[in-house]
Amino acid sequence: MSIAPPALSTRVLAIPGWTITVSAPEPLTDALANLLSGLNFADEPLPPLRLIVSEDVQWMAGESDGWPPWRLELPPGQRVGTVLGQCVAAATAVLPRRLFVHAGAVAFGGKGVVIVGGSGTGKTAMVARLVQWGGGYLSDEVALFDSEASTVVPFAVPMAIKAWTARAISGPLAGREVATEGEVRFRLPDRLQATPVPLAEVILMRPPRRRARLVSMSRAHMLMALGTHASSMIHRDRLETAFEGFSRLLRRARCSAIEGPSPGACADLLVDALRA
Amino acid sequence: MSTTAFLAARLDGEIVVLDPGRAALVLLDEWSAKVWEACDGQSVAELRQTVGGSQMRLRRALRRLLTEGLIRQERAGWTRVPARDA
Repeated sequence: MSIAPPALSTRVLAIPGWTITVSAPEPLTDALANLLSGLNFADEPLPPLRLIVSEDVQWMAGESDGWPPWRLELPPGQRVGTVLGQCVAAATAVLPRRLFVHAGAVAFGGKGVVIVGGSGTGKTAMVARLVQWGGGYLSDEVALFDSEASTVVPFAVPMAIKAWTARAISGPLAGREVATEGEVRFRLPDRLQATPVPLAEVILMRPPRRRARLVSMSRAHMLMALGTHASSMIHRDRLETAFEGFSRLLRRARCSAIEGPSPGACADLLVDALRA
Repeated sequence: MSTTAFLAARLDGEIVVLDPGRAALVLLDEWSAKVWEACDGQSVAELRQTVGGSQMRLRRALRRLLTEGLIRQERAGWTRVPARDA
């Protein structure tokens, strides 16, 4: 696909190990530059990504080696988030050695804690609470793994904190706001974990229940759960590698499911368990 | 049945099998995993002696394994489809 830039400002975002050429209205380019500023692929460079966003911000298109060209509509109120999501999807699709899963991740006591759950289950609030309790931020939305080393790798995309998430995490999250869109505040915590940490805990968030509880879960059931979430296993050409990698990772981790009346209550329970 | 080799992840007695052809995961609990691993040409009666359990339970497990393409019937016995360890 050839993308012919119209009269838009074009800018090259030089992220360590990754070059993104963006042709878009200036405010969106600025937001994207801020949102991606915490990423670093120096040890595993990615092919260049080219993006174009229409002047009326109604659609975007992109192309990158190893990832089919795409074009999609940008839903009102979620435009920044969608453009960011496409950048993240492009990166995770072409990262040669890393595995990913739709999850949040925090380094707690030097160990990697990964929170898996569907959209709207409270992953972001859980991650934020764990950071408030002293954890180091690894990622939100996408957890990256080095399956050979059994580690969780930092992927510092800002947290997209919606209004209900902010209410769920009583108290401020120390960090800087890098962009906003409507009620969503994209916030990069101050407490960033800069280096990979060993994977220790994989927590599956279940639908809310009146009583908070953390229950042990078999590794096989967790592997099945990972298969139902967006992960490296969605890419058919990487399916077998991803399956082997996740199997290897889970052998090193404790697996649990958590449920409770709120993400905050779940996070407090999890912190108690991690400190025990 | 897929022509692509299956992959099997053995995790604490349970097994998750990946069928790459269908991009499908199959979870075998400890007992079903034992049944699957015992399928080396044994008949139902022989399998019962190996893994225990009622005949109804065993037939249900075999039916599921067959549906998932994880075993095949050869003469009077059941044989596990080869799978590579993950």
